[in-house]
Amino acid sequence: MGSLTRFVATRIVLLVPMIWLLVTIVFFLLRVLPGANPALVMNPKLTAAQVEAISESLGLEQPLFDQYLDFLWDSITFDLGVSYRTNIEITEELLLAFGPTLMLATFGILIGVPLGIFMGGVAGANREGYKDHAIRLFTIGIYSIPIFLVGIFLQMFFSFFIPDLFRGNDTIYYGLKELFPPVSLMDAGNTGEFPHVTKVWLIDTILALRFDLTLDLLTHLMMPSLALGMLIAGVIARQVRTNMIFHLEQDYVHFARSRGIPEKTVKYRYALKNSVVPVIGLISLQFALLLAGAILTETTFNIPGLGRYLFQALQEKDFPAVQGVMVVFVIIVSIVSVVGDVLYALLDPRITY
Amino acid sequence: MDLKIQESTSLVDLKRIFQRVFSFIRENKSLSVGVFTLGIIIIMALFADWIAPYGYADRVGGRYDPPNQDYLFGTTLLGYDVFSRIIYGSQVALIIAFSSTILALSLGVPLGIISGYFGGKIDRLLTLIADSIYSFPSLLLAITLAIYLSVFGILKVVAAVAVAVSVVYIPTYFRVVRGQVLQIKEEGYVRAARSMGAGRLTILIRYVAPNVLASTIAIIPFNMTDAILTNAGLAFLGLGITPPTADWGYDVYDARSLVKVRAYPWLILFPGLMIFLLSFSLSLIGDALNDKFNPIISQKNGK
Repeated sequence: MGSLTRFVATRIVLLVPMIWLLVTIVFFLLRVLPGANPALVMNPKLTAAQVEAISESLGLEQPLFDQYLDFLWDSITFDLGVSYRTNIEITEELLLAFGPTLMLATFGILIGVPLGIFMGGVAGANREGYKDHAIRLFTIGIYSIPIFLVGIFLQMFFSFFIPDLFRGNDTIYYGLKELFPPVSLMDAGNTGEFPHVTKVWLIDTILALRFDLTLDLLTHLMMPSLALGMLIAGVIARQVRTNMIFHLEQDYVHFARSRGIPEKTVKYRYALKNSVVPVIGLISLQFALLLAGAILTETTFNIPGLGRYLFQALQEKDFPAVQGVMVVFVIIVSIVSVVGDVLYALLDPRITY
Repeated sequence: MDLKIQESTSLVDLKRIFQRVFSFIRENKSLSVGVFTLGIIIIMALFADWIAPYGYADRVGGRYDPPNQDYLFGTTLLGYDVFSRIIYGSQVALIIAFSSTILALSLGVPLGIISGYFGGKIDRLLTLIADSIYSFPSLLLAITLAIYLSVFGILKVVAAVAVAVSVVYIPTYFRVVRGQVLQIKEEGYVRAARSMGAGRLTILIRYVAPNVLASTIAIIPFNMTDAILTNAGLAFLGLGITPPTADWGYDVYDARSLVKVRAYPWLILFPGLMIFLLSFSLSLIGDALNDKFNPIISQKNGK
């Protein structure tokens, strides 16, 4: 067995204690912390009978250890119980909510990663130049603005401020309003004009051959993805810049230069390429940032994804739903971190395990 | 193995250290902007009672007065003075930033030292735990904690944010410190101390710990930034600090609907700006420190 295969195998095996640990933390947070009955803590207005019914459905009157075993089993089998609000299986609801989050995250990454690599490359190549300073200010700035403010700003700017400049001209005004719709993705996806086969609406519209709806969905995804993408771009640009600076000082770069290879090629083909590889590991590490960003972005833009689901569950004190989202998020985070490590190992030939 | 002569950091040298820190700040433009802004916000928080023209929960103005002479940044629905609320809001923001950092430091650093110095099974176990929770989304954790800590009243959000952000930053400090300790424990001066019969504890406290602390400095400002942003995020989800306490996050949450943003932009603009300014100044400081202390960059820098 090669060292790489062994590493991948070890990493996948280590996933088990990792998920176990994180699910245990969730259990501890939700069931063991002060407050005898979590459902009651969340919603003090419940009557005694309701509380009892809830306790029974969650098995709260059992010994803590039995609860823990049940919780572990339910978590790995994705048997997350029934929502208070809707009386629907939470697993089912989460599957529905997964599509929009996946779309948002994908487009966020598709915008953020190339933008971040580009900015980081330029900044690193022109170290201490005005481009470097400008990009640096951007990366620091974008990280410092809460992402929901970025979202609100984008909405205000593109959906209201820009169209308002063309008040006199109806064609442009309504054209812009359509290009930057202030209404939510929910309205665009739940029109009933196409069947929700895969739950990822973009794919559904393509399957239904309704490309006009695909385009419509894309316009709705543009602003939220941009908000999320800029956040990702900032983090990645910073890392790429540091790596660029490191690589530009390495012997192979000096050697390439002395061989008469054009400066542009040296910088952007040689150094940048090597600076980008560690970013893959970074993306998986920053996945938490992406998730937090998604939760807030979905709330800002009213996108019916996992984050929005969590928000609603919180607002309506739907305890099993909150618990379900936590468990699902924890498992996603663990898997992503392993995938990131494995990809990194595959791409970086220097790493041997 | 070269025997390094350690620069002593006793109290006598404090003045020299201050001078060096001061000149470092002055040399670096972005750092000085960051320190200056942070300084103003700290002054705002310390002297809020003297600076703020009104109380943070006094119905002094009319309903949604736009910014004017009496109410610099306008008033809210209930007639609260936005300017005063912003001044008082800095207190909550700074408390959250500092408590999160202190909590994370006080657990992450000792654990990192122990793990790196003693190695073996403890090291492997701690590293596994750190790796597992390193990527845990702190906002999620904060959300859960905020629901549960309601017993603590107003403190609950501070506690929730502090704990949640710490859970992510403890592994960060842990990793950095552990790596440093692994290096330092083989350095000449530590070996020399060991050969002279110094106890483990003495070596840890006198020789290892001071040298490790420097490596954590660059992380602290980002830790604070994340605490402030997590608090803002929590507030935006409606789980943050509730009135009458003045909190920028809550003020943004209260003014977030597009209808309000269009009609009364000052309600969201000023608290939002303050969150940005505080995070931005901290990030500027962090970025400058990172350049200074980041081994990859600074070794070639020769500064």
